[in-house]
Amino acid sequence: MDDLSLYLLDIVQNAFKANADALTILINENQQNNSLSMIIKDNGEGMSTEESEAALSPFYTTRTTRKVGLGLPFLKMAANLSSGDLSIVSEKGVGTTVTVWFTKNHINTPPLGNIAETIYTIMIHPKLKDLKYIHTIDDQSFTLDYGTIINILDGVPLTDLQVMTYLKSYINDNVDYLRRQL
Amino acid sequence: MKSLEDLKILRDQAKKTMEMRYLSGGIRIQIGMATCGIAAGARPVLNRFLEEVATHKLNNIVITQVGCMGECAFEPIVEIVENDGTKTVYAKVSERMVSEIVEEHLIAGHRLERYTLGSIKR
Repeated sequence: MDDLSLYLLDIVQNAFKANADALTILINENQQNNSLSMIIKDNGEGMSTEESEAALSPFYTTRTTRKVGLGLPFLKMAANLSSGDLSIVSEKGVGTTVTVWFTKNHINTPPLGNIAETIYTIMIHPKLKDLKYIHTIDDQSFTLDYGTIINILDGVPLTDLQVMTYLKSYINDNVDYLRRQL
Repeated sequence: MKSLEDLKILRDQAKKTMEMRYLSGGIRIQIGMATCGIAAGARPVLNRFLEEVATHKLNNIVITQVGCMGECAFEPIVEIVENDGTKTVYAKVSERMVSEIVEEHLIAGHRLERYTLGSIKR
């Protein structure tokens, strides 16, 4: 994986696999603590303690098409390489929260990448009913609420060319704006 | 600075110009979005498909994200399912190939044999 936005998309696919339809995604960048963290919270089926421990092993997967499951182990490895880590908190029937953190200025910390394209790709997933994306840089934050956007669109599809282009640049602009505030 | 106010204007414009061009029946495009697909570049490919399909106003086409199809070495994999159930599996799809697939396969109706999983695997 080239960047954090791709890891994020990958972890979110796990949530959809577990039949989640509401997601909260928090990205937190903090200059003072030199930290960068990503929290992905879903309302999917959840896992038992054994399962969530096993999920961090590359040789554990629930799929049948192949015998390896690399998404979470990849992300954990990327975090470990920048003296960060990954944790999974999950409860059967409630959902799963994946938290990953990095040392912000560490040379091994992957760049954020095209976060707008990832968020948009999540927004058009057929299973999604609710999404909150909150990106915080120091004390400034940007919140995207899926419900608000769907209400405004009033039946116009997210895949309308103008809407698609607009939403991606809306996300990019707002995240860039947080960075310019510094 | 963009705000959601502009989105309201776009919505009203879209409602006025929503024109539909139906080809025969519905076509489903399934793009593998598991770890293998994403790592190989499925996200930009999906987004290119969305753009191309929207540009050509192909409103009878549904683009969906699916899991791993078991051919991880040939990702990004794009499967096109016609309304009569005919399936075409394109392998190692790059952004460059997307407009060609849309124009040749989806609009003109010619399967691009050289991009299919069958001919790439051989």
